[in-house]
This record gives sequence, C-alpha cells and structure tokens, in this order.
Amino acid sequence: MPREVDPSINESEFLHKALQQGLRTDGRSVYDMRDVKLTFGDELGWVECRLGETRVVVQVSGEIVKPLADRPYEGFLVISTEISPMASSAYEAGRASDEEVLMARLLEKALRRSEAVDREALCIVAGQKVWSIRVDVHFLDDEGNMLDCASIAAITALRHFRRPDVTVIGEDVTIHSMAEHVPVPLAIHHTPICLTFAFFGDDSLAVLDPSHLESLLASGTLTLTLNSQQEICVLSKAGGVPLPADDIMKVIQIGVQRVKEVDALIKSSLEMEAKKTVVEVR
Amino acid sequence: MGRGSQLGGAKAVAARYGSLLVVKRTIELAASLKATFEPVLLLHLYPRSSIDIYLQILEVDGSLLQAAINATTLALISAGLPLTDYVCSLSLASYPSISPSAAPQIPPFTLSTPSVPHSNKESGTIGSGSTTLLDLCQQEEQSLPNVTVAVLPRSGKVTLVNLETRVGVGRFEEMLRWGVEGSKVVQGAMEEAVHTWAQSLAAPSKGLANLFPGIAGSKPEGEDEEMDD
Repeated sequence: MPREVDPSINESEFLHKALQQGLRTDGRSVYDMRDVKLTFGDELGWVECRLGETRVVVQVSGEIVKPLADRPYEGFLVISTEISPMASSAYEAGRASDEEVLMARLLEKALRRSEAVDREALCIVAGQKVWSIRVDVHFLDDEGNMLDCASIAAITALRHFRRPDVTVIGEDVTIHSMAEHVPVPLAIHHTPICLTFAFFGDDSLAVLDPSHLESLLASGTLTLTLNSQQEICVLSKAGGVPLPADDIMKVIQIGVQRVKEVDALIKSSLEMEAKKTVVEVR
Repeated sequence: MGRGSQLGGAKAVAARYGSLLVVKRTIELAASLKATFEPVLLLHLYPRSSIDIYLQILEVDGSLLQAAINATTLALISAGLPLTDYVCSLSLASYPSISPSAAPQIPPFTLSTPSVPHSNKESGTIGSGSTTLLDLCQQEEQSLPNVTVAVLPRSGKVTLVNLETRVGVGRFEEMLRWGVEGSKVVQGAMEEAVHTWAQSLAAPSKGLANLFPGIAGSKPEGEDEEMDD
C-alpha cells in the first residue's frame, strides 16, 4: 500500500500564508466546524455522520454474555475501530498504524473511560448474565478529522440504539423480541463529543476541525472531548508544537461553545428521527 | 522535523507480551514521547540518523508518563544530545475540598475561567473549592481526576497535556496553571542532577591538575566560572 504523498511546498506555503490572514483553504473561518449531517438507518443503532466529506458509520449491537468474575454487576462496552482502505489508500487492511491506535484509544477514552454509558444498568442477573454492547465504527471516507466524526456518530448511535427488553423472574430470564415488548434505550449519563484542533508553525495558529490537507501540515494537534455540562472528559495534546497555557484555555473556551451547538444538533436529529420511526405506541 | 533524521519510536518489548489494551497503552506512551521530544531536539544537527529511545519500566507507583518524560529528558542530556529546553513533566490531581485545618491554597496566578467560590469556614476566606495535588502516587491517580503535563520551563509553554478523567473546566485550568508553576521545581531538581553529573565527569585527576594549573576544578575561583552555563 503506498504511503501518503507529502503535500507540495506550494500547498504548504499557501496554507500557511492564508492562515496568517485568518483564512482557510475551504473558505471556513478558523474556529468553524464543517457541517454535521446525521443519517439514521433502518436498524436501531445505525448512524452515519458526515463532517463535510468525511464519512463514518457506527453500528451499535448488543448481546448477552457472562460478566467478569471480579465485576459481576457490570456490563461491557466494546468499541471496535478498524480502518479499512475504503477510507483512504493510505491505510492498510489488518495492520494498524500508530495513528490508528491513537485514534482508537481516544475514542475509547471518550466513550468508555468517561462512563458515558452506565454499565451497571446493563446487568441482567448479577454474576451470570449481562449485556455486552458493541460499537462498530466503520470509516468510509477520510477527508480529515475522522475522530470527531466518529465520536459524533458513536454517541448518536448509542442514544439511538435500543436493546430488547428482558424480564427476570428468579433465575428465569426471558428476552422479549422487538415485536413483543418495546425495546429499552441505554442509560447514558452525558454526551461526550470530541473536537480536534490543529496548530501550525510556532505562532500558535489554531484551527478547529482540520481538513485532510491541514492535518498533514499541522505541527501539532489537540483533541478535546467535552460534554454540554462544561466538563472535559479527555484532553490529549500528545506533544507537537509547545503552546502557552493561555492558548490552551482559549481553545477550551471555543470548544465549550462548539460542543453546545453539536449537542443541540444531535438532540434535534434524534427527535426528528423519533417522529419518523414508530418505536412504541402508547 | 527534518526528513533526513528521525526520532525512532520507543516501542517497548512489553508490547509483544501484553494484552491488547497493554499494547495500545504502550504504543500510546511511545507515540507521546516521540511527539514530545521531536520539537525539542535539534534534529537538523543529525541528518540521516536515527535517535532511538528505549524505555524500560521497572516499577510503577502512579505517574508513569511523568516519570517517562523526565527520565527521557535526562537520558538525552546524558547522551549529549542538544535540546532547546528541559522537558519537565508533572502529574496533578484535583481534590474537591479544602482541608479545614489548612490555610486555603493561594496560587501565584489568576484563572481565566470563573470558578465556583467555596468558603473555607475556618478562616472565612473564599477559595476555589478544590485543592491541587502534585506528583501523584498510584492510589491518588486511581481515585482522583488527574492530568499529566509536560512543560518547557524557560518559555512556560506546555508541550504535553494528558487528561483521561472527567473534570470541570475551572478545576482543569487550576491544575494546568499549577503544572506550569510546579515544572519549575522539577527543572530545579533536573538542573542540580545534571550539574552534579557534569562535575563528576569534569573532575580532573591530581596529575592533570598539576600539569595544567587553572583547569576546571583545580582552583576554587576558576571552578565557578567554568561550571556555570
């Protein structure tokens, strides 16, 4: 598989000069995100998110498994992110490059470590049966910033998903099909959303939601995972160009604003979808 | 980051023997180190060369990333590789209350985020509602929201921030600012260690001192001039 071609000097200089004037090559302003478009599939828990030209599809599914011996009350949240060459010819099937591992780790931290999904609510019979929720992330198109796109798709899919209802009488467990009982949504505490900022040169020029070219030419990135309650779930600035602490705080304030907008968009998309598909009739 | 020289990753041998999560964490640690030191090392002085950093974790009592970064800084200095600045790393946690017997923490900075005021009933002064702990041990790391920062003390710029636990924006800012302040202490300790080590290298034998009077270390007055950077 060919390694990605480095951008030409022309492209690099053009980008830097434009940024110094506060312009971006696709016409956005520095702290603008691309348009987020959410599409829901026929199945509950299938969501496609488009962030400009970047496309990610997330499918949430659940199955019943035995819990760990030392945590008999907790269910599982498994996140699978494998980048296939469908996203871009720069990715190899099977072998995960360092970048992919880092992206997978950030997504895991954003969804699992931040405890967005209540795992104790996934317990059916303590010590014997718990739900294992599986989040499959498929990267369809890489036009920069797949992480943010994936995080929006994943949390929307988790909020869209409903698991079959289960009745437990003593040791007897009955799983009701979607036709018998209304499926139950997951217990989600908060909505973590990842925002990635890219930095250029030494003068701390920052842009939000870098495009493909911008991420290739960036001298550092900062990924911020926030929820709408002004809490930072994950902040990852793993090296790259050193920044003054003031710049980091400025970036966080911008992130707080943007997350409110994205959260409102997710909410309205889910509401519109709920009106279209009938899940329960009262 | 010159084309001709590269900073080889520190892929620990443990990556082959650990579970999937351990492997991912190791790769993450290695990638963080690489990205932290690439802008600080003067790589253009070593074209067509590879600088490899091998990290061996002997014991962990919390703050692994902090220890790894500090150790790598000192190792690079000891190897004689030029750096633009020390990379000082510190782990911090936010403890959500003020100890009633202690005086409230008065930080040497002002916060840009308005924090929720919380009065310390004993002294009656208003604090920020949380105490910041520095350099965490395993237990503190596991029970409190914590962050690891790496700072270049000369410029006060932050090169690495790693937060994995949920924390409010105000408390995070407090931890970050304390991190920048605390890195000066780490730098002091590093400088002392480097000076002691460098002096031991430059300590001349008695014979040499007799042959060349005035060489570093042989005369007390000359020593001060020679050893200062």
